Amino acid sequence: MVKKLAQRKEKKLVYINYDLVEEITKAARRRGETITKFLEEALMQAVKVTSAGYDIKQLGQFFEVMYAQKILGGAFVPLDVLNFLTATACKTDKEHVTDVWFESGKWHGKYLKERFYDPLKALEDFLEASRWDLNEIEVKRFGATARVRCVSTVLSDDATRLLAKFIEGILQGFGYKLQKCDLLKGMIVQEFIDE
Amino acid sequence: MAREDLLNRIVEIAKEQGCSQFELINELFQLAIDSDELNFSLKHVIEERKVFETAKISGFVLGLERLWYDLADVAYAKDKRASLKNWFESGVWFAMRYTTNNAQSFSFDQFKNDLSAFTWNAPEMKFELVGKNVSISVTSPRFTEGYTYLFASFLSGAMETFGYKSISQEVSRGIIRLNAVKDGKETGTA
Repeated sequence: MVKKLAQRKEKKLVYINYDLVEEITKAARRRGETITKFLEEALMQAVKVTSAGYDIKQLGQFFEVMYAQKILGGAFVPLDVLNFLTATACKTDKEHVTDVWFESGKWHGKYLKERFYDPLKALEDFLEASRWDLNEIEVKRFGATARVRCVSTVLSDDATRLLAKFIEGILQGFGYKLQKCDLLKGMIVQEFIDE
Repeated sequence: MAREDLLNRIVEIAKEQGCSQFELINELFQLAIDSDELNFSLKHVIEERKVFETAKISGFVLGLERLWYDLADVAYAKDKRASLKNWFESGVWFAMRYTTNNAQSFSFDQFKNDLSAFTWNAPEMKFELVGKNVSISVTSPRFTEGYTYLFASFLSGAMETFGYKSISQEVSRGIIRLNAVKDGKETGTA
């Protein structure tokens, strides 16, 4: 008995925002768990997250992207296959493929605008978390202007153009109009104006 | 009240990340609440994060499936042979990562798990291993015809890398049934 007690982990008081307490209570109740169990599980996961080299903020962004991707019908495809498909499809019917990417971008944009308080930030998080073929991503707002910059060392010429069209569609979905577009293989620089 | 050992580790993490313990704990609880509201546990979010990381290492990118399907259909209609070859080779490349490991059975299990995790656009993906036979079935009502044939070719490429030869294939829009046997010798019903 004494040994068992000695093995029990010590407890400590934790200070948390008062606003969170009610939400935590509700969430724990929904799961049929005690508040202590809910909090300990969260803390345990936090330790795991950091041991895996992530931080909590990154995980929050990732979670939003993952959830949106599942709603929007995201799918993984090998990058080589994507480049091959893009090249072949563009040789056959570039106009059709470009239109599809643009329209899909618009639809995507409408969703992000509805779901996120700051859709431009959401777009940046979205590209960062899902398009690993992009080495650099920047989505910035300057007053009524939005600037998008993507750099990739592996993206083909056609894939660059399609991604640019997709981004243009997204920004149009947000209510922006394309003002300036510079495209090079693996590089997209676009400027948009808020309509 | 929370466990002391966990809190001590959290204090260390907060120091490493240059934020206060209070800030880190509140951020964490907020994430736990947000994910719970969408019926995900924090554990699930972390597992999904690992899937994304593995996909990245394996050379996959994430995008909208309807764009991939459209590209696949146009490319497949334009040049069937080259498209099938490209997907086949991509399957070989993907499986190669797992075959370099000496523990072959573990590698195949890992391959199955990763591929099933990446193929979240297919509601059903089953692998059955009986003796030297393997049977794979994939069903997705959303797959287009071209995409189905190309994905089947990807699977064939991966299977060949593991030393399985295809003995029968049934592919039609949204449905793939592949039967293969190790070293070309059938040992029973798969």
